[in-house]
Amino acid sequence: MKIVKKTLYSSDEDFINGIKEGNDKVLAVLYKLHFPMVLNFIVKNNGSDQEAKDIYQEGMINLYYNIKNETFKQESSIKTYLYSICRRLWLNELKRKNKFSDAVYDENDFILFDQEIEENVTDHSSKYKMMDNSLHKLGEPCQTILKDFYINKLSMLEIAQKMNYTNTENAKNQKYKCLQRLKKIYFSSNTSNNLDYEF
Amino acid sequence: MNFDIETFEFIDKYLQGELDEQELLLFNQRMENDHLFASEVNVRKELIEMLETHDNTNKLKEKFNLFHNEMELELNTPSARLFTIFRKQIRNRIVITSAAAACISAIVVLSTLYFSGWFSFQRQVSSYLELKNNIENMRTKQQSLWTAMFKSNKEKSATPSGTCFSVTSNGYMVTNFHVVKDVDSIIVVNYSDTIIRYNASLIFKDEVHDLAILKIEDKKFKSFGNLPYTIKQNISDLGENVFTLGYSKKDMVYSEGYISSFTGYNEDSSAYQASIPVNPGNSGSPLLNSKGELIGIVSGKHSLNEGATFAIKSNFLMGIIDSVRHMDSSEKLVLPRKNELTWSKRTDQVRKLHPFIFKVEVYK
Repeated sequence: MKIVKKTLYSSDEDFINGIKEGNDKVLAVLYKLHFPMVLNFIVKNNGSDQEAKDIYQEGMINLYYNIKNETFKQESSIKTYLYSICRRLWLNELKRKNKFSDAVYDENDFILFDQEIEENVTDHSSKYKMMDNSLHKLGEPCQTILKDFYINKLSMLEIAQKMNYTNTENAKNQKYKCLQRLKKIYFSSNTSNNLDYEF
Repeated sequence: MNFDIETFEFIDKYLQGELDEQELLLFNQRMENDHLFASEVNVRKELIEMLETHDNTNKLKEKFNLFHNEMELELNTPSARLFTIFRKQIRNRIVITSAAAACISAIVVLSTLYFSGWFSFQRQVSSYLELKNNIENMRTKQQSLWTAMFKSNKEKSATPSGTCFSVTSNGYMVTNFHVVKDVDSIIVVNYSDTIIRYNASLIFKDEVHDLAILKIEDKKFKSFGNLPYTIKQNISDLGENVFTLGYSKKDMVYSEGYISSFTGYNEDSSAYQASIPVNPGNSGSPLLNSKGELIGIVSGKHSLNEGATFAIKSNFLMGIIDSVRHMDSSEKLVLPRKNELTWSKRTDQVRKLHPFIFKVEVYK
């Protein structure tokens, strides 16, 4: 079975098409295919396997959205792309931890792709982190109300019942307050460019 | 900046797509006229988009975690093991490299030892000094070169080499093999009141025990008469007083000492170690005990340890004499039987021995 799986999606095109269609099996194969490479790189550069996992997943998320938004350029292979992103992310992480050393152990057979693209790529990660931090700051019950309304598309009545509000007007009021607060938190952190927010 | 809750709900409804035609018309009108309202709508759009992306990303992360767990299960190893596998690869590489380095250095050391002769168990080891007149040898070689270059080749010069002594009255002599190795002719000389020279020839050699038997082949020679000393058949005791007579210079030199060990160089059981001062030229000198019995033949000394002289045991000499007899029945070796030195004083012993001890001169 495993062999069939791997031979089914062997080329980059198969992977790209699979991700665009939302095929989870393809995503799983792709995920498992390139992890050892990134693990190797990070372990050789003062990282643990847990850190390797985090960095790899971040890189994979970037790849995923790039493919989804059609901004992924076929000039470089997925392998090189992943390696380059994960390398950039890890070096940033090392810099943040003040562990950065000039000597970076690289695999020999990789040609790193454009530095410019690398920097654009990390944009998505920083936005995600910003929203993550903001939501964290926002806390409960606001997080649940906003997610239920905007993402899970629940009606105000359902939310009121779920959150034990006496009527929908109260729920509406609560939602209004929550969103105003999120807006304030999110955009204040955005304008101050406080990317290294720690929680 | 902050709109009231009605406006807020209005925008929400628009974003959800719940506005009817009339409301949408009103909304679009307000978008055009009220810039504050328009920017509020855009900000809300962005915020909700970000919220959605955040949620999708979280879902994606959950998926990835699932894949990761699957992968670890497939590999049947926890990620810690996965980690150590990569570490091991690096370590293996180091082990292989250092093993190769160790092999190379071992080969270099062994080959150096081999070529420098460390493994050969022969006497030709640097710390075993044969008491041959090597320096004299060098000098005469140089001299002969000099004469060869600047003078006509009148005659070959003799090389003084070692000492020999007679074991039979009819002219058989014993010396070390290394004294007469690779020589053309041998002359034995006795410097007593008068200088006596005899031509001699090598008739038997024993390279292992470093012994050689010479025979005087000279018309002038008739007989030595009775020899005053005997050859001791059995092993001597440790601490026994010994003395020797040899030609370490032109005249004969006497020295004395004691047996210090039953074995020779490198625990060689065919030799004694004696604490007795000897010098180059003493090779082949007889080693005698206080009774005047021949107990050994001086063959060499330790170059590093002072006072460690090696002498071949006399019973090996007996063995050689036997083999000479067996080899050629015409050789008549009659060993002396009567010891005339037993009760003599040392000075008398030496005086009586003097005529039977010769210097060996060789021509190469």
